[in-house]
Amino acid sequence: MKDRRPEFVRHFTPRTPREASDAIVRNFLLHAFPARITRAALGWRASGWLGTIALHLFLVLSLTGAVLLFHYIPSVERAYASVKDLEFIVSFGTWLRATHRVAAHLMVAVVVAHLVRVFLTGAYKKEGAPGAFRPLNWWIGIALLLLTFLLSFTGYLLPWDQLAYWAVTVGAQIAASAPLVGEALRELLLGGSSVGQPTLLRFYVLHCFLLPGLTAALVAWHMWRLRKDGGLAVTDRVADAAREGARVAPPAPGKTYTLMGSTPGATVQAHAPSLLLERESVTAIPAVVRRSLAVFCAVLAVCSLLGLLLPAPLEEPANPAVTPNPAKAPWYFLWLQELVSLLTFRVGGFVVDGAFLGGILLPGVLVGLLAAWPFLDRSPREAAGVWFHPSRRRQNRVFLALLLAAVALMLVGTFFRGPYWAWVWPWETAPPPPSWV
Amino acid sequence: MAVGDGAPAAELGVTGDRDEFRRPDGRLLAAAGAALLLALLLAVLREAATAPSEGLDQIWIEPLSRVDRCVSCHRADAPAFLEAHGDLLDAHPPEEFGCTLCHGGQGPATRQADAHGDVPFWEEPLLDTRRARIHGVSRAQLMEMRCNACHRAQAEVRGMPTLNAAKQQVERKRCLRCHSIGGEGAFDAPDLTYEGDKHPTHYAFPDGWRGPRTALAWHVRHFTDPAAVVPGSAMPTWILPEGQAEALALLVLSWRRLDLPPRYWPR
Repeated sequence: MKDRRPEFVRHFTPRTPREASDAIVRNFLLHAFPARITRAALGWRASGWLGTIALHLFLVLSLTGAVLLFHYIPSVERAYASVKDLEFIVSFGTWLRATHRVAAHLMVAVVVAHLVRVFLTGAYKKEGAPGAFRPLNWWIGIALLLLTFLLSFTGYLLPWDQLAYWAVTVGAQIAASAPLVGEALRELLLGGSSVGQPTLLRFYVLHCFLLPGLTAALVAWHMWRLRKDGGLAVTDRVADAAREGARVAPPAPGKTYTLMGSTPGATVQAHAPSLLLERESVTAIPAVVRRSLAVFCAVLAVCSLLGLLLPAPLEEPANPAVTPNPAKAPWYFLWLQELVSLLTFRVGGFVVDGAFLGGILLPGVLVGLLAAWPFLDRSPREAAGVWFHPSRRRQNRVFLALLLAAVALMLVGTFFRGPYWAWVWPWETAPPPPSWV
Repeated sequence: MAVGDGAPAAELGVTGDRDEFRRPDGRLLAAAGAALLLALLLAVLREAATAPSEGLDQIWIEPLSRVDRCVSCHRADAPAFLEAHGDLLDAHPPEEFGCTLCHGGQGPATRQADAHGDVPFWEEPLLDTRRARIHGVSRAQLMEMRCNACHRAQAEVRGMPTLNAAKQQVERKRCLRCHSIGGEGAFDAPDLTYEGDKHPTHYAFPDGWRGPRTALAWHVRHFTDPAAVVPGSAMPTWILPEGQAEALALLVLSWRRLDLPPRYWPR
């Protein structure tokens, strides 16, 4: 029966699996999707769609950021005023800025949640389908996490207010505590010995061009690797079950054509999971495309609503002469700032350098451990793609304990730290800061 | 849901279950789309509600990189406001000085609380009657503090009776015997050249401080009884005529670093 809906936009309802697959291959945007996807991978339970949500947040950030680019002036004399203009006279400026900020915070949270999901389902494991190597995608993911932090941190400086100036001053001070290269690292970051015009320009270029470009490239690689690894790790388990159920006879001797002529053995197709998984899967058009579109709409709606509820703060103009007390890092770095303060203490005449221990060494060790974990994890291949597999109980517990500790330190840093990083109760309200008149 | 369980196996290349290709997630997509439309509609409504009702108007002073949007709301008041200035505007034309350079307030803002500077993080609020009353001075006296930022080198300025008197006190009490102001005087006590730039958070308010926590109130107290706010202060406790502590406090707070083009300097 002919579809009688008016063709406002080109739409397409495939009639056969072949047409559905062809549509994916023919269309530039859709070819990022696989031709087919298992029902398990399509469902919410396997992944929470967290990777997709993170990507859509990145899209929201790129869209709002592109508009903000037309108004923002990266100069120390005019940056603050241009943000004030965004707040007061640019149409939808307040909303754009707040939505951009909310999406940035959410992206940090969702990318971390995505990493937690991948860890708890053992989806990084090296024992996958033939030809798959999931640890590579795990490493790309870690790089994307660090890029997300850097994107958020570089964006922090651009309003050129007190919050921005001092957060970056603190961050640069921590970078300077790295052994040997510390001072050089700080100079590279700041373009000088203190935060100034060269810093603003560097952070601007990093935030608006270099880091987003790098992120987009790595995201593409991340998704391509996911396809090469055979889809979400849960697909491997579905394939196992399908093989088990189908009791597939060993592939019939056949011919495989190579450059050197024909060789005996099974054809490539006989091993391909697509045949085994035909029953367990659906075509990406329309299942993945429509669900992905729904997720994008939901992500933009949530960012926009939160942007209306939570205006982006803009403090006093940056003032090198006035240090806010306490100067707090953004929330996702607060656990490190808390560690820096806890690990700075005096033993006799020797001062332990908390900035190095908590700000450089510990995060370095954690990132190194994460990167090496696919080779330290000795659980069986059946543990990949399964939530809380019994064989991974202990490592999941340690991982969750570390995560909870970091969250607890963030909460302490957010709600229980006052001037001079001293402990305060949330109900102890400090008197309002004095003013001139 | 169309992609539910129980779909029969589709043979490769042959028409399979037609259901599989019906539009799945229809309700989800509709709900997400509706939520997005609602969110965008709310953004549009708020934009319409917060825009200045009579459109935007502003004084843009290029040489100072300052913008004052006060007139966006005060369009109807503007003639009366200008009238009230008397001949003051002959030397201070609004198109060259704007409003906030003298009156304080947040020039770029377009909403009342923001514009009048009654918001966190704005350091130069509008110098209105309410703010003057907090410190027991008149609005005109409070305004003189801003006048003197430019007129500090002149001993006698028309329309600035309070600070003219304060400047005489500085002579009479011989402040320069200990202090230095603008390169003159001694260095036995703090240099006061830019005392008005000292940030409010850098003032030490003693425990049990009563009254407003402002630099102005601190200086008034300090001129009345230096040792009460700076323990062990070497500054003498002056017997000042009524209102002179306030006048001196306004004077020292007017001493601020100003970066104005030369043609803005008083002649």
